[in-house]
Amino acid sequence: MAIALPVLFISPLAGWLCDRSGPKVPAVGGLLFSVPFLILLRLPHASKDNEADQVAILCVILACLGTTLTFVIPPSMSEVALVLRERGSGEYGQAYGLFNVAFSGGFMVGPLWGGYVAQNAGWNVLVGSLAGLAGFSVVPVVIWTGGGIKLREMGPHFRCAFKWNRRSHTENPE
Amino acid sequence: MAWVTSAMSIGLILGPVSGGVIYQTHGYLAAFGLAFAFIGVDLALRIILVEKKIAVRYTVAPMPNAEESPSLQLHDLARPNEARLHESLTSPPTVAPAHNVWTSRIPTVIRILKYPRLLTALFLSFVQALILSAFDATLPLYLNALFGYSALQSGIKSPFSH
Repeated sequence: MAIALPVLFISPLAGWLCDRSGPKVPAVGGLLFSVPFLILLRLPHASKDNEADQVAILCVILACLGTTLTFVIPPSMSEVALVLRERGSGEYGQAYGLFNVAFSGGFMVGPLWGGYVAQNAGWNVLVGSLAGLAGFSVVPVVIWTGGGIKLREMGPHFRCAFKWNRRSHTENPE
Repeated sequence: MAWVTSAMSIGLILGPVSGGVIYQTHGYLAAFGLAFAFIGVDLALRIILVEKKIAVRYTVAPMPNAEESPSLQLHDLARPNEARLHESLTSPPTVAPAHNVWTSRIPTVIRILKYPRLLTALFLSFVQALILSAFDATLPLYLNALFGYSALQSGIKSPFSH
């Protein structure tokens, strides 16, 4: 619930940011900022005298993690729609089918990964590996999300989106 | 569009929590009953919803396909959020032109995989779901080992409930 609560409040904000600045900024920011919080999750430890402090620390870290991960969801989903719109293809149903495959694939692999690593190597290695995954996935997101680095232009969103669409239609008709 | 994704992620993340709470307080049948009730509501809403393709038949001039021309697309971007939300809710299943699907011999599902942007988006959602669900599986056990929490305690654990 410490993860779920910020999602309730931050999600519309993340969606707004995604609409305003394009999907790359919130995706990269969310992933980058989730790395330190994932690593920090190793901090709370069992102690008899100040257990409430440890729980509070854990809750705060989890809430921060929930916030940062919230910024990753809307870009990944609206990106699917943006790609299809840019390519002029209308296969929304099949693209969202693929999206669901990826999403539920993550939901299938996640518990297995978490279970195996936590059982065999411990909690610290688990949060470290998840941080590594989040850090690694920044790379393709920086390169490709939002239409590639060379096409990316910051500025007024609508004009930018129009220019970017026109260019990608003329420059790389794939 | 982002509102849709927000709503979906809220549902996905609140689902386990609410399911766990309902299961603990009202039992097995109640959790399933709620799920079936939601499916019923969803079915009713889907039946009520008039799809664009069908609505077009009853208008005088057929509506132009917004996905085909860039100028309309720009207009589409500039419209207020509610209109776009409505559009994105109603149009995706209907805008797929039939010839687009059938002119290519390769199945569309495979064909659209060649876009690196789409692959990246899929990978992003995969990673995100993986991280969340890894915690779903391990956090209760870890809390149990650390502080001796029960499943429900760790399920509803929040900065406010402690």
